[in-house]
Amino acid sequence: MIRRAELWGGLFWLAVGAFVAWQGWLLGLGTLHEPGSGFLFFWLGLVMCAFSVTIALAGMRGQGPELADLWRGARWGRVLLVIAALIVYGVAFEPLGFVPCTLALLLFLMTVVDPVPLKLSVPISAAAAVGVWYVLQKLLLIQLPHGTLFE
Amino acid sequence: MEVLSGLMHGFGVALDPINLLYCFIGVFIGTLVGVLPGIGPISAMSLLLPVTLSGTPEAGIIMMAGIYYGSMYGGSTTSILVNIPGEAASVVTCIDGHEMAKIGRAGPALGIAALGSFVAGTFAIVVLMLVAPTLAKVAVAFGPAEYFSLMVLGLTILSFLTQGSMAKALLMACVGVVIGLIGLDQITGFPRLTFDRLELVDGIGLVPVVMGLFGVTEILCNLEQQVRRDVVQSRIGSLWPDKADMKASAAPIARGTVLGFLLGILPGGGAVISSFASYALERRLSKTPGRFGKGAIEGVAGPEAANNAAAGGAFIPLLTLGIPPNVVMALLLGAFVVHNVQPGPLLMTQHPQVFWGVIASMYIGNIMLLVLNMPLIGMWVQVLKAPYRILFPLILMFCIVGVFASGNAVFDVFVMIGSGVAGYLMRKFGYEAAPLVLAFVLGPMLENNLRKSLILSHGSFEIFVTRPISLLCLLVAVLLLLAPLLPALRRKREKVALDVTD
Amino acid sequence: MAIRRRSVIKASLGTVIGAGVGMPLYLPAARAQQFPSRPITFIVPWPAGGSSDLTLRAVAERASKVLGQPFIIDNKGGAGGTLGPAQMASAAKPDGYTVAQLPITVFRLPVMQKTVFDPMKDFTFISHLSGYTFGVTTNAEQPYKTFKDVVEYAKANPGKVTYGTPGAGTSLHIGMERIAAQAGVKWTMVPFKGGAETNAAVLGKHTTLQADSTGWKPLVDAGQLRLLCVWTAQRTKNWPDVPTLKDLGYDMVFDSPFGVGGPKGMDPAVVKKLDEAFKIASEDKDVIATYAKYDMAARYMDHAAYDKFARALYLDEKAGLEKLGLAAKG
Repeated sequence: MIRRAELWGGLFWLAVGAFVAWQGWLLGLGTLHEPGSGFLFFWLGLVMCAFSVTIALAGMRGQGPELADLWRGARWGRVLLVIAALIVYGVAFEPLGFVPCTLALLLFLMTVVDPVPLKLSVPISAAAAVGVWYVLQKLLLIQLPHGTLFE
Repeated sequence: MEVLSGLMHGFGVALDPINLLYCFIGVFIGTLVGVLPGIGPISAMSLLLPVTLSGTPEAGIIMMAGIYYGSMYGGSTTSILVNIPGEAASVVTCIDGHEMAKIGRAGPALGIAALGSFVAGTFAIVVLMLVAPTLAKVAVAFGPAEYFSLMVLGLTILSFLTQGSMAKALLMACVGVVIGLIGLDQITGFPRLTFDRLELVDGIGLVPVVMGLFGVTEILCNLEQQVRRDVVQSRIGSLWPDKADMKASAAPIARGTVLGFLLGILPGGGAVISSFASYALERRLSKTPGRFGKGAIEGVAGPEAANNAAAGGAFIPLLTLGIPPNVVMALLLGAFVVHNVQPGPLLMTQHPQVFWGVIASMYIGNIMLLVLNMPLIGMWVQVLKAPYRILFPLILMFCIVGVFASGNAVFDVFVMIGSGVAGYLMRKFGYEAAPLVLAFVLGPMLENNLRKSLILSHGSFEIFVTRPISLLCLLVAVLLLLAPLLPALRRKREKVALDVTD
Repeated sequence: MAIRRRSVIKASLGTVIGAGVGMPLYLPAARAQQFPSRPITFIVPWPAGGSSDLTLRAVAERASKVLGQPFIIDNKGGAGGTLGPAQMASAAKPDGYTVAQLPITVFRLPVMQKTVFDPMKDFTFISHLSGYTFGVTTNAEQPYKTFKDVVEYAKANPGKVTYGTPGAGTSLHIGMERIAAQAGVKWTMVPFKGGAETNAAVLGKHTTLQADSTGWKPLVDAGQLRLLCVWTAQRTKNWPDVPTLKDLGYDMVFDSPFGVGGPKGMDPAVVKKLDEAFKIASEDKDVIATYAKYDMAARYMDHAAYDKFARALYLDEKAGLEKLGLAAKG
């Protein structure tokens, strides 16, 4: 039963629910007739706890898939690569500016994560990054980061 | 008769070449920002507002309005093609729209969305023209107590939205409310769950959450699959909805239109509730509810019509009372005022050329949109033929751009990444995202209006049952919740459950 | 567009030269001289489309012509208009590329609760601009013909009269409570999200009164709402028959004076450039006309005068709030 996905999912949400309820308590409950800032948080947290317990119990009774099954045969390495790339992108977005960042992201995704021949990936990345920048910045007047490092 | 002469006058204004041009520019930009997920009409309108100052008031307002309803048209495109809803109201379009695309029916899905939008948009203008002043009373009849009850009713839709475990769906709804409540407490101005982070004081944006939970999640799930599955099967069926599609969609479009229009008049989450409600309604009424979630065309037609009719309904409080029911309408109000035209009860008499000109231009704009969008469908479907390894980096880029542009904050990009990862895990563990989104939108309004009602009633809960509209909403909600217990209806629901589990 | 591109090139040239000479110490001065070399973010702490937003847009547009760079209006509503300035105070660089409208709540909220900023320490006061016209309205179908009628009803029925405001801690909230304190009545505040909602609330008779800035104008002009009093120093041009608070025997004026500020520690040369641009904008006839649309009048003060005014305003607000018992303890 310890391998059941439902058990772990339920336990996770139980922790979240408890945390929300605690935060609601800290914010102040008020009364039923004059609810305070934390009133809804507190009760929602408790309700979440209740649901997560039922989910976890279902898991303990051996229902639902096993944790390992969820990722059986999945190429989770690629998922991690994409997430990492996105985080790096987010960090570098403002210092480097839109075009260099986007170009780098697209090239990374098209050469490392799911390879495409260079003769395709390079022109596509360049056209997409510059094209989007042009449409937004010039036609729609939406501001994109231009890179504070280059100032 | 008065309406007719007004309308003739209006067409005189709207068919003026300059105004036609402005109308076209407006709907064109609207289509563009609508198709780009996340970049809603708000940023485009606020930035282009000064550009219209040089022209006449009619021209400027015609263009602004064009951007608005144009963007509503394009909103379904990315939902259907790549499962990225650009706004909350498009979330339901994703559910069946993207499934249709996966089985090679992207063309009919896009086609019915455009047709539904056209019908709903046109209907909304006709009603707007005929009975706007009467319906304006509906908008102000809704006070805090009525909103509270409406939100309760809206949340009961959850029970029709879920396809799997009810406990999980309700848990997700709770999570949605909690996330929606992050930020300053509107009643006291006290920060809640912000952990002293200034980025959180404003609350978490809807666009990044929605685009993460749907768009990014979809990409992550596709990437990890061993066998490469391109977005669409190689066989792309017909580009247009066929006769059977039309027949299946006619009634949903009609129902969605009425529902959307009525809810659109109400300030706040009208458009969102109406599209969710339309989906729930169609699934409920369907003889084969099991098809929903697997590419049922009714699940696209109804919500899309509702969405667009709501956009039309939103004009009513603005034009007749000067009360903008949402942020976009507030911007449009700004467009009126900078031209020294004050929308409100006197608009029709003081500035008939503006009132009727804008109404007439909306007819023309809707036709322009249909003409503009129909040929685009073929193009969009071609896009899906591109290999996924080229497509997915571009989709990710559009997600990032849209999210950034919606709030001009890198923080939002991180919210999207976080939501994407959360959505990926949720899908792995079998938790649905749609209830979370609905609760995210409705939850905070529910809480806020509950507390306002109690301030007004000095702490008495009677206010919710003594006011007729509020009582009605609550009764319908109770009825909907109890419906599964009634024997006749129960059989149907069990059938749904069976259909879903297999 | 052409102007913008040119100044960008100029800016990068300037940086290159500065860096080339190898005197990084001179860079700030060089920057001030070529300020502004890129668009300036103007935080408007109210939703788009309101009176504050539209007048500030007009001011910003005129000022941008003086500066040769566009202002990007960033609508960051929330927390009674303090959210935008608070974010600026803690996150923006004091380089002049981020400025914000400083509404009166910036001086008020820190008295009422713990905030992340200190109005006396965290801002550079650039220019004072104007103030608002507030008024109290009721539905025309309500029996109250004058403000006095409402006060009398409230006296007889404590707590029964409700009024909608655009948020807790706004001038409207404080003003109504100060009026109530002087009149010896008690009424109930209901916080809404801005003028659109208070309009709907009073029109639908969900609240007895509405206290808000002139968003009620079309409805008052159409006779659906009745304007009971205005809170300006003099009677308004548009509604000369409506009494001011002073006319009614309340020696009070609430017009929520506002100006433009930046984060603390701005280069005086940059402040001067911005201040001059706002001065020219305040004297522009289009801007004055825009102010007039919302029953406002330009009340420009330069950097020094505004700084002094702001400090006095803060003390006044503090004293007033403490008297009402609305100040946070400790």
